[in-house]
Amino acid sequence: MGEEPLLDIRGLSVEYLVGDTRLRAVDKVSFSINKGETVGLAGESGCGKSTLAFALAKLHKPPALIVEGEVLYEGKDVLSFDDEELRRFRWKETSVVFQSAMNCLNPVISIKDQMTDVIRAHHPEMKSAEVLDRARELLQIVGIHPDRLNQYPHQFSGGMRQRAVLAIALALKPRLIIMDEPTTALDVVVEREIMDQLAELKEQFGFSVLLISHDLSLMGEITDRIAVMYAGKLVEIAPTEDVLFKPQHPYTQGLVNSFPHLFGEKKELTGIPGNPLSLYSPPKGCYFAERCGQRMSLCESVDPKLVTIHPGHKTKCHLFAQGAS
Amino acid sequence: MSSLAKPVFSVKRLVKDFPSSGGISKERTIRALNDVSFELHAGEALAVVGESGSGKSTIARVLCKLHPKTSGELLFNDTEISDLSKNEIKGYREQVQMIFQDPYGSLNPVHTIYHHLARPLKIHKKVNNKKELTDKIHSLLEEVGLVPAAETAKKYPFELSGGQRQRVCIAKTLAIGADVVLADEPTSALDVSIRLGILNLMQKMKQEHNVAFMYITHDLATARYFAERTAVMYVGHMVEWGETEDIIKAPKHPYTQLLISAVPDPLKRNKDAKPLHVKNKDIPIWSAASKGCPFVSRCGEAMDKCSQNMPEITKISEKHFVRCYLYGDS
Repeated sequence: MGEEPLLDIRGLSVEYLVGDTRLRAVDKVSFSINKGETVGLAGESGCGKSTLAFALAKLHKPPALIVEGEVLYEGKDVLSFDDEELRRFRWKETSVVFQSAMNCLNPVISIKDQMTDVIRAHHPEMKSAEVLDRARELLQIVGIHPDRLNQYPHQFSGGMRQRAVLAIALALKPRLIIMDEPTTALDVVVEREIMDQLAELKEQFGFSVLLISHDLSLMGEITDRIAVMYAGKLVEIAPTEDVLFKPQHPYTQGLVNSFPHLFGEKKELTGIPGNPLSLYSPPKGCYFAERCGQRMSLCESVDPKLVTIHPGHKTKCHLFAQGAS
Repeated sequence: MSSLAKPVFSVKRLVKDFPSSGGISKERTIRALNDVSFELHAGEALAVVGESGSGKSTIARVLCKLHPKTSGELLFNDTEISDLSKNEIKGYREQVQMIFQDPYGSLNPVHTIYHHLARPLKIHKKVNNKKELTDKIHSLLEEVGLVPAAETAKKYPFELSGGQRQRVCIAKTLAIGADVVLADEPTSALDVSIRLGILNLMQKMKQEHNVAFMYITHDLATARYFAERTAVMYVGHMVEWGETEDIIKAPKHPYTQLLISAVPDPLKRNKDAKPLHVKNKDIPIWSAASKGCPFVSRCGEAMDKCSQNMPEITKISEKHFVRCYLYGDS
């Protein structure tokens, strides 16, 4: 696995215009995704993870605005791409699988047409027969019998639709796939099948994945690193094992402790007291201070910086501010 | 476990058919529940787990008398609930309450929290005067952790978060002193950091008020956290049941084994994941005329007799039962 970043996000901020107020849904988030790496982006609903995903492919629309930052894809800033460059970037380089992706399929168009449409749009030179062969091949890759190509989405089960969407995402051999809660609407057995499939395809094609989810258990199995967001800010990023077994930020600790385990010791868990932060009235200091069990007076007045506590492990908390660079 | 004590609710061989308008199945009815039997005990939770469409919610709806049963016995404190008179139904509803998945849809948006709690208290004549009513509402809100209570009571549902709304729904079941609570995926619509608070609150109700819970979920890990006993459903059939720890650590039915191997768990990381033995991914649609074990089309160990008759109950241990031909003598 190369350490060279494929996608480098630098100080990205996204705001929503709501009436006269600007809500900062993503606040100066920086992290990178290396070639062939799977990065998990975890957090609760409303923490800005989906907004971030949209912004990465410049898919956001008003009232969402990117106010600052850069998204460097192999050194080129995606945010400064013109329409033609964006068209080529999307799908060919990066494809996005959205939440409840199985509902993205058009119910009145056959799977075949929806798949070939993508291939034709980006490869106008390909002959019809070639396009069709490619579509059949793609279905086979995700474990659907190619004879079902002529069927319509309602003839597929939820899991199959999700696989079909994955097949379409893979159509142009992208180097990065952004997946926003790809299995949240699916049953656990189907989720497992899709995730195993994804791992296999990744092995085969070597693309990078940004997996957005609230489910840390799922991430624990397939990601290399996990980034944790709270109220629009990146609060911790570290290799998966460190996040799950040695979380440093009190929020990450709370999140990890919110999941009962299926195996291992059975103990009483507490979750996180209080309620998620309202972005209408952000506090001056640390956004998590109100719910934090280790709050100090400093936390209420100064927002901590994201600091490296040891190589590869960064956290944004005053508990670790000393001795940090 | 209080298995020796008399159960609060005893369900025997429950069958529920829904009429089908055709299209999905050639049969005129879909059998949503087939031969389901279980008991609920005071101060104990039974988790009902399974995939969507396995009939978990139908059980709760039949028990709440939202749907009539097709056949079988539904004994609440030894009384068959299908024969209750109108007056008795009111008393029954006082004792058996439901908590729904979506707390946003369970509260009326144009009424205050006070109203939502005052209504059950008034309908079931739990208070004598207004002062008592207000005091009771405030103490209920405090009990479910919505403080300051006086202020929360004045709020409208839109002013509360999902977790807080679910707490109001729980306060409603506490208000009338329900003996049995049927909780249908009470935490799946909530944020992850909020879920445990709700589970812990239900745990407290179970212990302090001796409530019998039926906890419907697709999440085995929370079932393990909250429920003493677990029943596994597949296409309207209860395929395995027993103490939750036994079900998770020593699953017997091939479907339970599949379900447990599929649950993501970070502790499994880097270990060789066992491949799933799934033959055919299509889940059958069950009707009155269907026969055999519903899992036969996906089961890696299916035998000839599996497609002819549904296996009878085999006792694995004192409290662990399975319906599968792999176990037992026959």
